[in-house]
Amino acid sequence: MSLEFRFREEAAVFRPGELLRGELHWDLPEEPRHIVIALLWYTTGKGTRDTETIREEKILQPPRGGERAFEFELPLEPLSFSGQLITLSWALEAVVYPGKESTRMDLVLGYGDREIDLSANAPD
Amino acid sequence: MSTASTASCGGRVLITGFFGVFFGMGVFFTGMLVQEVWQATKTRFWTKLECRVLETDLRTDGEDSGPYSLQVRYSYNAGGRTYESTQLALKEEDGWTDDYQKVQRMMLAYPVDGLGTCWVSPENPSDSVLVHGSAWMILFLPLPLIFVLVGGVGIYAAWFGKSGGTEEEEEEEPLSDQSKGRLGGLAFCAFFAFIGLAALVGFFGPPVVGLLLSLTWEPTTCVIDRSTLLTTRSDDGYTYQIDILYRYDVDGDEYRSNNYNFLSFSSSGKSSKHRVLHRYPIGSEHTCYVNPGDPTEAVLHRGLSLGYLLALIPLVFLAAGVAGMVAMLRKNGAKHRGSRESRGQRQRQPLVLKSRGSPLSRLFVLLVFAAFWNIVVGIFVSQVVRDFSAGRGSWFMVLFMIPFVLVGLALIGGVLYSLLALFNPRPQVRLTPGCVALGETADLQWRLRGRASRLTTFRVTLEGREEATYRVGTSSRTDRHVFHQQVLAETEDPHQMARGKLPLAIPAHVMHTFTAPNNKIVWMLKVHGEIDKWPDVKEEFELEVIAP
Repeated sequence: MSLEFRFREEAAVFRPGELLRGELHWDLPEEPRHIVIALLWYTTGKGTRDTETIREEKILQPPRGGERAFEFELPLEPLSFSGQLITLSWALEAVVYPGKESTRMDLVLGYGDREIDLSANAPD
Repeated sequence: MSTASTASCGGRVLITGFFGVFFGMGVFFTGMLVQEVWQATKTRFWTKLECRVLETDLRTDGEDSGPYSLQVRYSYNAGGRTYESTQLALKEEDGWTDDYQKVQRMMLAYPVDGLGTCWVSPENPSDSVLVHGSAWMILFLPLPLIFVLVGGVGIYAAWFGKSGGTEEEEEEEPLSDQSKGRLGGLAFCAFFAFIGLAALVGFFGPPVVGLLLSLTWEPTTCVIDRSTLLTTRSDDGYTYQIDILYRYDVDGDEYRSNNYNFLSFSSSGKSSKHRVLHRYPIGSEHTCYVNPGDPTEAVLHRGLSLGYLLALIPLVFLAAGVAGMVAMLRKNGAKHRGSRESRGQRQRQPLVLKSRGSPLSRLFVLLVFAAFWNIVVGIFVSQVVRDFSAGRGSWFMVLFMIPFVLVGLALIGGVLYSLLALFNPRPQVRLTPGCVALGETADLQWRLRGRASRLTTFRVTLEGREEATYRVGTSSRTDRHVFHQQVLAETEDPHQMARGKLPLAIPAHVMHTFTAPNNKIVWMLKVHGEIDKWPDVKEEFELEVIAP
């Protein structure tokens, strides 16, 4: 079984408002009911996890194996960041139903060359 | 099995025991209530037969369940046999009422030698009733059901909930699925609002409608026949209710009513009720108001009374439920605010920032908490004092109560401190534009309302911090970490304290304001002014920092 995202251009950081284009490739043992591709953010760290799906695309009654191109406009915020208590990450996720087999690819949404690091200038 | 998972299992068993008590009590009381309602309403499923009324009389010697009752003798045919009965309702107390109008209407509905309807038990035809029991207790069903719900959800959450899981366990479920589970909170708030609405409509709807309708009723002269206070015994003591029976004529026919106002119920406190009774002595004449469409319906006093303020209790439930629903829907509505369209609508105009927790709200919260704490502790302290007066005091109880009393005194001290802080100068902060982007600069203006000269030092600080909320057992905690702190202004000059303006630059490589249910990035302007021998000025103003 395989389920993976592919992009024409390898990018480490995506800019807010940019178009995120890619393809989902799958090869499954059985025909799924549907596959959902979601663009979401989630938190990790000390606090209970928060997560929110921002964009979603549903592939209805797909074949056992195949590929689908997708395109999402990235929102302006929240930007990816990492602090002492909270880390916010963006991700592309594909979930196969039923069974909920899934794959996830983490992204960075921001203006620099990496996520915002809050510990860099924190006071003592 | 690892040690950690064994401890976690033990914790789950403890939580199950705790919520099991809620669940068990809820099921027990729900069962009791359902059985009570069934006993009161089962006659509705008996055989409906025609009966002949042989004798009627109105009795006025009932006690707890009401002073008025219809005494009736009636006969009916069942299975080829004629039966006679004097049973009005299945339970004797259901036949007694404190509402004279109800009995009067029944007398009119069951004239002697007239035909009426009775309900006969199919198993025992000698058992019959003319009226059914009341099912009003069903209104209380949501109360034990709340216990069942809390207990059930608690037990479910202990074994299948996410809070007990590790990050690895959370990872097993797709993230896009985890973000869809906010309907539960909305349903809980809706349930809360529904309870409030049902109580409001159920308890206060009929009196308010009656009051409004009575404004069109005919003023009529009435004579007082009975003026007394009904006493009801309960587990908690005695409650009292006004009972003023008066008679009046409509088109030559005499009617009676004991409807004083539309909100008469049994409650504690006698003196105010005695004052009312003194105004209506037996034999005195007054103006009552009679429904022209149904002369059996009348009211003596159609003004508002303090009892209507009780409507505030279900209103609080309703308001809390609706506020919760609005807050959750708003949170959902904020989902897509990262789009370019919504960005354009953001506040770019000058904005007067709101203080987070004004001195008045701090005082109010502390006052309510201190009052609640000290009333509860006071009850126990007075019991200890009574025990010592009776010569059976316990020094163990005295030692046990000391920490609670000290907390109560500290709370009173806190209330006094907050009260003094009310007289402090109040800062007002204005930002132009109202929200600032990372790396941009805004104009910050402040003004102190009140005597700024009382302050010895004044400081304005910009602070950015992370706030992470997490659960420990059944309680939740919030950890905070400051990632940016910058003193913007610090002065001892009263003129500069009273009014000031400066550029507020937000660094470029930090995080903008971010609000999620458990994780937040908060930007604050903290204003701190010191006053000699007096509570300090301490206020926080939240500002919105947006992405560039």
